[in-house]
Amino acid sequence: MAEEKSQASSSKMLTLKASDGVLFEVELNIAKEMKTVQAYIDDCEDIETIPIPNVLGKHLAIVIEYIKKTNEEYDAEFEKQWNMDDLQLLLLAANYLNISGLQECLCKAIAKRIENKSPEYVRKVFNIENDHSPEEEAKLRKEYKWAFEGVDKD
Amino acid sequence: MNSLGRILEFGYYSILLYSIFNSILNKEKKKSIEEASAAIFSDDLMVEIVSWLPVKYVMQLRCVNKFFNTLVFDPHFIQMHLSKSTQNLQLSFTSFENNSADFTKSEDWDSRWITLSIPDLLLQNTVTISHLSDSYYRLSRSPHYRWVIGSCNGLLCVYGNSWPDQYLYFWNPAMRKESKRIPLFFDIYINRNFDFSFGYDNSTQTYKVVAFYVELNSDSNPKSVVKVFSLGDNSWRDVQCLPLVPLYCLLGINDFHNEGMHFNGTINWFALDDINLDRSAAALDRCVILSLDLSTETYTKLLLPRGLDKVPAGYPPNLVVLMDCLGFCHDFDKTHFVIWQMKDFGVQESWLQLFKISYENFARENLLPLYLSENGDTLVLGNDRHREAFIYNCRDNKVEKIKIADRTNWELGNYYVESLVSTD
Repeated sequence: MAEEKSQASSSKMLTLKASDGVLFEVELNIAKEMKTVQAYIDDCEDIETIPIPNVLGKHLAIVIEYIKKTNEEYDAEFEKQWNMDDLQLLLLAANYLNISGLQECLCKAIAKRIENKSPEYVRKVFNIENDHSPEEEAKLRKEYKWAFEGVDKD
Repeated sequence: MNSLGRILEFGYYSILLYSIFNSILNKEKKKSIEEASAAIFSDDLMVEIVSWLPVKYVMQLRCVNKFFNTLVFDPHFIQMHLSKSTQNLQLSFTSFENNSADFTKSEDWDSRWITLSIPDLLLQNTVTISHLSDSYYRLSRSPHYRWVIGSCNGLLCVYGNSWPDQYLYFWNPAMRKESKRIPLFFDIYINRNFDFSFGYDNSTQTYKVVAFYVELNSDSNPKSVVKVFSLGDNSWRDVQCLPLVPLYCLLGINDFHNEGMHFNGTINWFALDDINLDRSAAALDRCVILSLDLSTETYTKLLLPRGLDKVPAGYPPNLVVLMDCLGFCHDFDKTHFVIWQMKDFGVQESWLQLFKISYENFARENLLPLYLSENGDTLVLGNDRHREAFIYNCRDNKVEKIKIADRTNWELGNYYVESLVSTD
């Protein structure tokens, strides 16, 4: 009897419900990598379905896959499959779910993609306004001319 | 249709196809940028992303908006960026090139500060040397001489000499910022050969330069002068003089690479343990490591490992920093090269002999360990007299020789990482 019980708890499954209603059944130890989910479990022990309101099914699937497979090799190839769009949404997901390894991997990947791009490109990526006056911007560009040598064209 | 017609037709269709293809590509790019703007990042997330960028690209971001413009001065961001930058450890060197036809004319040497990426070296076994052809990184050009005293958190301390002026200054090469010159306290006409070390005091978060000079007299006791300059101060301060005689004074400075070695807020020297000891009896087992704590500005004696082979100090031992621990290397019997590591700073029992490698592997003596990988498997060694570096794989006892820059002579320096640390 005791053996059965321990077997049951080690393969305990949890259901995660993405924002678009897609359901994912995951093992407890996988779900625990998401610190946000862990906190949820700590608060309500008997919960079986946990809502993940900020993450689409498509991205939650990728996140779960990452947790299962992460290692040095996997991480190195991971980000290559996704476009900037997905990378950003994945980062928001990793941040919300509080998965530090994935968050670091994605931050590094996005950094690599904005490296040596024009300020205008960066503004579009981060969705921010340019609050420099034209004179200020020109002054900065002149002062740091060396930093702008060889900037990639958008 | 004649051939010219065919060529033109072909040309026309090529251009047509090319421009269609190109506009599809541009549309995709544009589409992805527009869609990407749907994701809104908090400031914290943006800052985290940006903290992974090399300094040059962080500087470019200053044009993006006011937030990023001032971010480079934020101490928390500087620290964050530095902690990530340390994953891309580099070795810094000074390279020398002679410009005249006559190699003996020392006035015509010019020197440059260069770096070598360790991750690249380990991953690809190729040497990527930065700044070799960029004139911004030039140090000396006769009659102005400069050399790098030390490197700490991305800040370099440089000594300059344009007769009769001599000075120090701080340089962050990644940001291309230099501090104003700091005049030296001793007159160059008086023959006082001070040496310098550069370090960082964690407790007060200050960068400090230590100037030291030892005068040996055959009759009386040795005299020393030690002064400290803190970045942000305007003057040099006297500190307690060296309680023991550093080994380099007795053996001739040229053979030592790392006299006054900075490690984790301390400056360290090999020293003879007895002020009255006969210099000719200077052997390693009679030595200690004299350590100056940069925060208390007092000295401690660190004992060397027990049972050290009775090594004559003829081939001088060198202090090294490997795997974030202080250690030293020495020659054994002219047949082997030994490296020790002090796992716990100041604890004699924590000394560990890491390696005893036969010179046979290298066909070269006078090696200096430059870097040891975190797993302890790969050791990078250098010999600047012969412009060689070696990668030694500890598991299979295999050595690979690396060539560093064809015509350049180089002098070994320290570790370097890029940072946004200010020169003020």
